Amino acid sequence: MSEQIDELIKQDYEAGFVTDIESETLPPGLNEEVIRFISARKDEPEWLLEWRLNAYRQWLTMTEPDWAHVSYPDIDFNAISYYSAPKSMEDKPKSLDEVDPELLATYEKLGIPLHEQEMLAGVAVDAVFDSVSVATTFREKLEEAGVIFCPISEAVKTHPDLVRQHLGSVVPVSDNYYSALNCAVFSDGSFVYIPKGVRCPMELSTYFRINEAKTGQFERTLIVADEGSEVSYLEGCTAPMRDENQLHAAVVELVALDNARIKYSTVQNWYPGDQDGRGGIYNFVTKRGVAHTNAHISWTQVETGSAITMKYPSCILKGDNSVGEFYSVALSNNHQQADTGTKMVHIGRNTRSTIVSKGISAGQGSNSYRGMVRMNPGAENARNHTQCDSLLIGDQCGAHTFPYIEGKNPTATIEHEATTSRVSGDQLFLCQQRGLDAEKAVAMIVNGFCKEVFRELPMEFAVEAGKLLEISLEGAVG
Amino acid sequence: MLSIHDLYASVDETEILKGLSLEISDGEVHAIMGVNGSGKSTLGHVLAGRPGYTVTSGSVRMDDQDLLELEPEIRSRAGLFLAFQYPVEVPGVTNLEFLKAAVEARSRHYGEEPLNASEFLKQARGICDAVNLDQSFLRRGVNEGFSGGEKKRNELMQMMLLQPKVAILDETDSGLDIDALQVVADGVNSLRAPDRSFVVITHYQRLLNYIEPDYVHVLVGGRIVRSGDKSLALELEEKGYRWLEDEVA
Amino acid sequence: MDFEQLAVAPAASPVWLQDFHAASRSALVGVPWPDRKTEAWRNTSLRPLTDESFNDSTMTGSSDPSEYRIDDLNSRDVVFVDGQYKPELSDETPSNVNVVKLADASETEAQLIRSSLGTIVPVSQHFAQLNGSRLNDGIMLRIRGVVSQPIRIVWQSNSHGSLNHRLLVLMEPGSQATLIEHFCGIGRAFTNSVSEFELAENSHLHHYRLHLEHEAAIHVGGCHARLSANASLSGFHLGTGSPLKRLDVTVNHAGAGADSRMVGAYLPKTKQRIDYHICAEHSAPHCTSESTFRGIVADEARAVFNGRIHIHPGARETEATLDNKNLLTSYKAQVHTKPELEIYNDDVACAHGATVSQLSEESLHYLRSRGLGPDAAYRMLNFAFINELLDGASEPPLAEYLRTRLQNWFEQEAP
Repeated sequence: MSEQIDELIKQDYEAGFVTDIESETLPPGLNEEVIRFISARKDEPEWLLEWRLNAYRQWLTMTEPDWAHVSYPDIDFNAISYYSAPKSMEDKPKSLDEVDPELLATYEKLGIPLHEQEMLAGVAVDAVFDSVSVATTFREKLEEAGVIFCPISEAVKTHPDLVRQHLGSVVPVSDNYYSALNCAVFSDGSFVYIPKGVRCPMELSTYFRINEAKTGQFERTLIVADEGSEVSYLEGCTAPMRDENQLHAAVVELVALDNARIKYSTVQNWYPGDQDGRGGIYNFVTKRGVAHTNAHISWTQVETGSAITMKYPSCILKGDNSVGEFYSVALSNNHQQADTGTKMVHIGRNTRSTIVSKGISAGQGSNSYRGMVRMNPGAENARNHTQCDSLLIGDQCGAHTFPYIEGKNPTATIEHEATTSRVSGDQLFLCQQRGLDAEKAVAMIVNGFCKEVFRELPMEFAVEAGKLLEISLEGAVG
Repeated sequence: MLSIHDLYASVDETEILKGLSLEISDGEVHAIMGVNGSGKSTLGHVLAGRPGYTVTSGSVRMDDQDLLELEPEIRSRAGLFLAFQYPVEVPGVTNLEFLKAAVEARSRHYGEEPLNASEFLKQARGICDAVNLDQSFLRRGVNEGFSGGEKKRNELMQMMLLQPKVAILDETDSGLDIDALQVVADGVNSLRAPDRSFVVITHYQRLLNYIEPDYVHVLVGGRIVRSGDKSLALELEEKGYRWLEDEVA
Repeated sequence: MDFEQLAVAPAASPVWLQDFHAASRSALVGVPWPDRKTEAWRNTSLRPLTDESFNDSTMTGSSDPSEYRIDDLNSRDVVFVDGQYKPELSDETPSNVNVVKLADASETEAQLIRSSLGTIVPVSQHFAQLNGSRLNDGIMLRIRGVVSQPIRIVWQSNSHGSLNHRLLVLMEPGSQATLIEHFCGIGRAFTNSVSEFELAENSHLHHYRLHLEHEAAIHVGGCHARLSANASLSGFHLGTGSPLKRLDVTVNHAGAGADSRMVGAYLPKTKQRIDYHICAEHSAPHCTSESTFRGIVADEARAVFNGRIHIHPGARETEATLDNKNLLTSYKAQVHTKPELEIYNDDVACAHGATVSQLSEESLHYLRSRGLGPDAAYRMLNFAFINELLDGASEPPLAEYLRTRLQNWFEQEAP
């Protein structure tokens, strides 16, 4: 069985290619000059430069977190380049026709045909290539509804009050080491504002892609859903194959005002490194949302990529009756290490949260669920339910669960359950005896294991996620 | 003894009882029949004072007391007993401790001397035998791991110990085989007395072959739509509930 | 505070014990004093220990062990008063139970002791290393064959001093015994206790550890077992709170087919703290472990529970479960629970669950519908929540003793 598993685990990284275009890249290193350069290059207002510099100064006093169940060599932050923009972007394209054809071909290979998407109504894409947003579609239709969906660098200029009011309001500058770094050097990202009572007319989507060697990507996303509004946001990530490790430290902030709903879905397929653990992305991301009265925030993530992942999309359930959800599938194959989960902080009365986490470990992968559920003293009648399952494939991998549960209100209820299971020889034999090959059988078992999470994804994503999982486990059975 | 007048009650803001009236005199046995969702069990819970069941209007008097004003335990001590359809399991409390606490609470309420431990034990054992439950059940957790039939007999045992004035049996026949049904019916019949009344809630006429009712009432949509003697139950058995429902509609 | 500074070896010890002191001390070199940033101490403060000096060894009460008698248990008692073994207060033990004072061990006994002492408790238990570095008095119990009478270690503390408790139990192959560790007394001492249990092949131990000492007594310690092939351990833990009570319990399933069952309850009230860190280590195949801990946290008390299952790569066909349930009975009570799984092997069936919740409305109503008042129903269900854990107790008189104490405890605890 283990031979078959080994074979199945071996997989090719389909998105692993380098786009050959000229870039403007800052030499490696981090200091105040670099931050001033980034800010000047983006033509930012003074307050934002000050904000970045303040973050940088705080970052200098902080230390890297060491509590996660992952190990990696020290990161040399001066060996990273903090700004990279494709040269051809110097004169910003006014439409897709003006976009570098090679760039567009990159998206085609990734399966994000922008041309097609323009026709396939329903998904607007703000594509971030390295650090600069290159193409935004469906702007008009969104504008009609009053929805703002643009690169955050643009929003800083066009909607400075909104950005200034909410930037850093959910994830404070000094929240953690990597969020502080992001505040100092963030490159670009998306800004979304849904006005009062508006249901966003389409799913919003951003594909991020790291292309340039030795560049870190520090995107910053801010979504503000005003009272009674509703939005679903999709995020997909891939990166080319490189021998060295690359750092990705993003920050995502969600603000759901009274009665608003935000659904944030991620399919993360950054380069995981090769079979021997060489290369791959370090994915150290801070994602958090604050839910006001009756608001609803839902995180869904399918994490199959990255060499190392530390990521805890969280909800601050501040308003009464607010709801937080976290649905996650995380796969660690070969030498991948993932330490991921969520935090649910119940502040308001009658707040509700649901956590469903499915961890899959294969090869020599290590997969940890780390979560925190806290019922503050004011969280009258609040409820949480957590289901945390691990599936192990092969005897070299690790599956871990570290839930922190804090009860401070006697009327609040927290329920946490965790199980582990494996894809057993018996199951496979049964499938094989019924005519399925081992690979299909594992895919089927794994898909069944993840079903609860997949059904939370928008339809197109659910299919993609299932396939991605299958590819990631290719060769993995016995 | 029990007088229900124009009772309206709701659960989770859904109105279930819609103007139910019923007069029960000493020593009578009333059967309440109806389809699922007609409000039969709700009536039992409302009378027993279960949290979450809100009376919106109407009155219930028991022996000149306003029943609805009383806390559940006071209703119980005053002589109201509900045999639950789904008795809850209370692990960690033995049946014996539980029964003793209940009997003592009742004695205290009436200012009586509680039974001494050995007398009580003797009585409990006797009742165990009467309902055909092994005496080892006294040492087990309340309803813990009991089969459906054992739970029902355990309810009966409590009823026999507490000697209520009004006993409400909520679908006590559901899930019982014929032998268990006979045991339950024998227990109930042995308790029949001029100063004790019964409300027998059931879906099927079958139970009424064993516990003969003085009156049969049919509940549709939270109200009694037809009352009669036991022949009404036979008529229902024959024609089904649709007949009455259609008539009401 | 500083571990190295505290690690002062007593004078005049046999050479092997001096070596042991040195080894324990060396494990503390450079170890920082735990604070809130130390993962294992993030929710428990050592302030009550560091804020006071525990240097008053004057006895504050009677040392008569009969006060802590357990009726009908018929146990053979081994009595310690303020950390010192008191043969004159102890019962004679059955012939197949050897009691050896560590400092008086013969050469062969010392050899036996050294092969286990300090090797069962994990090195990362710094307070245990501290205990080792200061070890003066303590005993080894060697158990052969079947011991039918329960053996009770009475850990009585009567002073305001700093106490070092140490026990080593060697269960010979095939032996069976019941051992009760009873912590009691009216002293407000700081106790650092380490009990180690070596269970040889096919041995079976019923172990009870009752922390019923004075409500001001500070305790940092624990008990640690190593199970050889087909050995089995059944553990029962009960702890009331104090300004600082931290108890570590580890069970290492080191031999194939070992089995452990652990049950425990913690009941802090007023402003008390209690912190149980339990860990089931599985390093051999075909082992099972099952842990069930419950807590009722009242008033302004705070409870911490950390339950870890750690499955090592070779531990095939492991079955391990952990269940932790908590009730908070006040708006100022708090509980921090962390059930952890760390698994390096796919051939396992593991599960854990933790809840923080309330008594069920349905159960409360059922009791009230039978005439019990709300307070009585509430007390009965609280009692039941803990009493359920006593159902499987191997010593009925002990269970009875504890039930009475629990009843009293809950009588004082109105909603």
